[in-house]
Amino acid sequence: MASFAGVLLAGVLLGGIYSLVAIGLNLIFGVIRVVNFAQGEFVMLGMYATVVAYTLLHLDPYLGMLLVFPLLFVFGMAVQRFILQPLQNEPMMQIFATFGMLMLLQNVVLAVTGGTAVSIRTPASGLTIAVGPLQVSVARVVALLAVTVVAVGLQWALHTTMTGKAVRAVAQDRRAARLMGIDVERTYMLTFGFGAGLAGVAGALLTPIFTLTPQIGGNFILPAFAVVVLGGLGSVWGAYIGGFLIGLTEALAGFYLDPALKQAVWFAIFILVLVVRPTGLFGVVGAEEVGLRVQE
Amino acid sequence: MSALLTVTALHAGYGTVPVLRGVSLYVNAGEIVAIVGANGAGKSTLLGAISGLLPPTGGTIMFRGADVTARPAHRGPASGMALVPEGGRLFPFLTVEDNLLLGGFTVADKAERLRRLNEVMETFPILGERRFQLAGKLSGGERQMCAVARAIMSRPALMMLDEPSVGLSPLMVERILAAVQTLVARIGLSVLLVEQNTVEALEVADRAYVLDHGNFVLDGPARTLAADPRVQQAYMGL
Ligand SMILES: Nc1ncnc2c1ncn2[C@@H]1O[C@H](COP(=O)(O)OP(=O)(O)OP(=O)(O)O)[C@@H](O)[C@H]1O
Ligand SMILES: [Mg+2]
Repeated sequence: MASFAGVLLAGVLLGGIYSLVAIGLNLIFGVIRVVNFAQGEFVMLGMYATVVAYTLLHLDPYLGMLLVFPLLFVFGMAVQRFILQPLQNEPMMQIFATFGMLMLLQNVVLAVTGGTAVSIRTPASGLTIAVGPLQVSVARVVALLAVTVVAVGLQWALHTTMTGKAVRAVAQDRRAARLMGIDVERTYMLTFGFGAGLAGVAGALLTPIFTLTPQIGGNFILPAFAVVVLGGLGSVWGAYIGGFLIGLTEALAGFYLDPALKQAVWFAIFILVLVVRPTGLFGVVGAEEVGLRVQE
Repeated sequence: MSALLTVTALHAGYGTVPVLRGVSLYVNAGEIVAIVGANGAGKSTLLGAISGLLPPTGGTIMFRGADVTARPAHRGPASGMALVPEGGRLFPFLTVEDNLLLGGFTVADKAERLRRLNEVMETFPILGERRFQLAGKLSGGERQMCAVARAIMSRPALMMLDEPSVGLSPLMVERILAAVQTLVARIGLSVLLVEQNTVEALEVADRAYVLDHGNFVLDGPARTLAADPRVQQAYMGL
């Protein structure tokens, strides 16, 4: 019984990490309709930036976040402005471009670091708290709390603030949004910047947990895709809850089947959902919320 | 006194295909001007070019004394120009209220935006009733009302309407056009109205232009055009 509870707990905590990466990915997809294959590499950049801030400035990763978010935000805005916007009328090319960015970022970081793994020991690294008979990593709990704050905050902002309403308007009908006086290109830049910033925050939160290599992005992007398809394209809650479902699936499959099978299990779910319910579990408020209508 | 809107020798098209071949028109303050013409004549293209959605390939557009040729569409509302596009194009997964609020997106003062929201809901009581409903769930007539109301939120000097009557019952058409006329009288609005429903359009308009294959072939006072046998035969089904 204790071991089953342990598996569930591990799954939820892992799910929190996947949600964290998936929310930014899904925001970018929902508004700009670009599948950002490089989102995992943005997380990787966030992790390296956190390590640099820790090493040079002795900033704890949780404080380093305050530096990493704006850094990745500006980086994301530049990517949207100078790479994706010129390809705006060629969606296929945008996807190739993000894939190219994945390769580029990975290889540049590989060249710069020589590919050596890095890990830092922060106060949170080895810390655990006891939950009944189980020992729980504090850093993972912090990540879980953080993703919850992000999901609630983002959902609130999208539905309550004028900027949030404008972002949703752009997602649903960008031509009509222009007629409201909304600068669509600027909204895209802010959205991509924000999505990249969230990847940076995810990187900072994950630094105390994972050993860092230039290829680490791949560990997050595959489950994040599964999360997005499962939860529903474009939906904040879909990404949040989908993360837990994938995390739980991975933990259960790893415990009862074979840890090596975890990816096979994700993709079995991935394909099953695509066949049975293409809009994802939160389809109605997900894919349709962003408006599955022809643009311009 | 110069006109509110003056379009001179406007050319526009898609890719290499020309649609508008040098059209000129003007709209004075407080006027309702109609543009009538068959399917594919270029009516929507004209409104797209004036609003900035589609950069013209030639000609000039002057609005309130400023050259607005090829200005990006998102600068329109702040300058006093609003377009109600074909079909209304509400944001279907936003509430009626949020759609209306977005009409006032360029109004920086939140209190002022809310004041205007209450005002348009008084003008169109049905929208007040549907306030928290998703715009995608409105009926065709309600949707057009909402689209007009959304455009009013920015307090435009010129409102351009692209076929507000399409798909509506004759009664609904009269109600929408009557609402537009009331607004014109009450807030001193000018209207550029594109319609296929030539009979109704010539009834509410002061002046009209007839567009055919990207050229204006006739123009004049709406009453004169309504009595013109060429217009009656080609566009009014008489
Ligand atoms: N996005 C586009 N790309 C290419 N051609 C277009 C596009 N939109 C319209 N056209 C063409 O331009 C011409 C004029 O179209 P437009 O929509 O302006 O006509 P309209 O007078 O508004 O017609 P309707 O009464 O049917 O709305 C048509 O021949 C149409 O096929
Ligand atoms: Mg048209």
